[in-house]
Amino acid sequence: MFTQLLAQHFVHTALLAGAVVSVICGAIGIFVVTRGASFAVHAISELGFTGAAAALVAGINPVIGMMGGSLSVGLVLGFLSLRGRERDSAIGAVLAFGLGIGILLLSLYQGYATEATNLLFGSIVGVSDGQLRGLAVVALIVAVALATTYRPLLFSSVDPEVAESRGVPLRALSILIFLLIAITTAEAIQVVGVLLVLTLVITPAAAAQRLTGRPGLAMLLSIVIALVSTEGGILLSLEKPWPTSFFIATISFAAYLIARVIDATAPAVARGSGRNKVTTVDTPSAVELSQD
Amino acid sequence: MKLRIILIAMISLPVAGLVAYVFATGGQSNTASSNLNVVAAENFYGDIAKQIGGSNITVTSILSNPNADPHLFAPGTSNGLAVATADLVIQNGLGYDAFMQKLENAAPSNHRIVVTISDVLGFRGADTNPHIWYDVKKLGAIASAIASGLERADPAHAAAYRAGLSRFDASLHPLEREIGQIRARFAGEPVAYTEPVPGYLIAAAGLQNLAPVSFTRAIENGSEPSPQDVAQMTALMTNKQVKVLLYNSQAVSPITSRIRSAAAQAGIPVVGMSETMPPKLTFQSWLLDETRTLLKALSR
Repeated sequence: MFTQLLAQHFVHTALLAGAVVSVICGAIGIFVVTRGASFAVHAISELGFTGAAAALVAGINPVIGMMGGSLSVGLVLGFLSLRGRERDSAIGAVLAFGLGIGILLLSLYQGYATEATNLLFGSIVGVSDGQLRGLAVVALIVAVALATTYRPLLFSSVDPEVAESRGVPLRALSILIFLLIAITTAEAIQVVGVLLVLTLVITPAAAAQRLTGRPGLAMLLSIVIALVSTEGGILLSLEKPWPTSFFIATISFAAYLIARVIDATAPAVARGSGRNKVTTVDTPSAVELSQD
Repeated sequence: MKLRIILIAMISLPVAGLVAYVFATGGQSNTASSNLNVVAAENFYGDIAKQIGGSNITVTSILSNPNADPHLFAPGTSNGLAVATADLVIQNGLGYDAFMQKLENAAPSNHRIVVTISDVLGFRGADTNPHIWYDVKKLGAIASAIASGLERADPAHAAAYRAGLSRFDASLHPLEREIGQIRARFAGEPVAYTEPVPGYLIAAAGLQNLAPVSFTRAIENGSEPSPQDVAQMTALMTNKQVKVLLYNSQAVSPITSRIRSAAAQAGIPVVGMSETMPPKLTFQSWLLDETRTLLKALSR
């Protein structure tokens, strides 16, 4: 069964799609965790479901609706550029209202809502060549955007007060990063589903940050953990016909636990100055930043 | 620093190895038996195909759990493999098994034949009741769509498939007689269903469904029926406005259970109508059992 499955085109597509999504999830995850935006990611993915329901009612492709829902929530959250407690409750309020609209839309839909409910669980075994190309193009856009704005993005995420005082355009960067988070979330939904998005966007980055204080290395580790989880999860589900997303969630959670153990047992000096948090930004000068 | 590099290598090398292995072993042709590989999205179509195709075909059915709600089904790798290696795929369409389209797109094949029953029968539109296998009048057309799919996929055994089709058609007569009896004795009588599963059967039997469409659709889609709908549905039971409540045990919610107990309290018989075929039954015996139970309940 395992080797027979490995020879299948749809399994190759799944592995490639998993790899593409893991790379950007692992990378963007570092910014999500540093900004403490896990709840925002949750909201973005749940409201992607509302977007899918809206698309069903309007008679368009639910995946496009899901993208639209995620992006508009990302845009709103980015524009509000909220911090701390205020952000937590604001996201909660927006999420609740959005889900309410989703329930209304589902009740308005005259047909059978399986296409929207399928998004809840993800369907990595049903990725077509065309979808894979779409995932790759979107991932490339996210990667390029991250690479070109890496330093100011990181600076504004790690220490917004100092960044602001040095003239970093906080709101613009906030909109940018939340749009990138929304795009990445919409990609991850197609692999692990709405319910398990955090397993790729949060867990690998959270584990990586336990292992190193250096943001660049943390990002690399986060990408590696996301890759191991996704590819390992897909391969395990070839051997045992349980849902792929369960395996992915399990492996990434195991990585998180191991990282916590390493972090708790290793002497602080060995890990450089950072304890659990990215603190050592390779401090960019104000001049350098204002040129961006 | 060195430690970290070793750490990264330790995690990433196995993955690289696995991925390399995957692509090294790729392109293997799969060695299937000489039988025609038939995949049915739903077990009732699988059963019809098996009855027509007999020992010339091997059937895999994807939706077959009688306790699960097909609307919440997410396909796994074994389903993907089944579709990827199928010679003939039989699916319902009308969004009922939208996951099949995905599995087919993910595993392109130049020889696979796909029969979409709703297309063959000419059902269209998002608001069409997808439970067309309950359409007793069209069962012959469904069987012949499946038989012609088998003939196209395996012309060598065409004669056997045609013979299988006539056997199947003949076996439908008891069911048709039963429906005819209901029609003759109870045409126009009011009934209600919790979900539109038996919609076509009710229509064929000449019965009239009084359950509000918005209620049954909400139950079907797992969303929340409005209080008005629930009140109307409960009133149908407590005021004894319907003779029978038809109950889908595969899409239950606290609301449908309450409607069910309201019916029981009012002395209205409850008849189960399952969405997919229970194991150990044949397609004909399944619908015949349900129809007989319905006739008995109406005669009370």
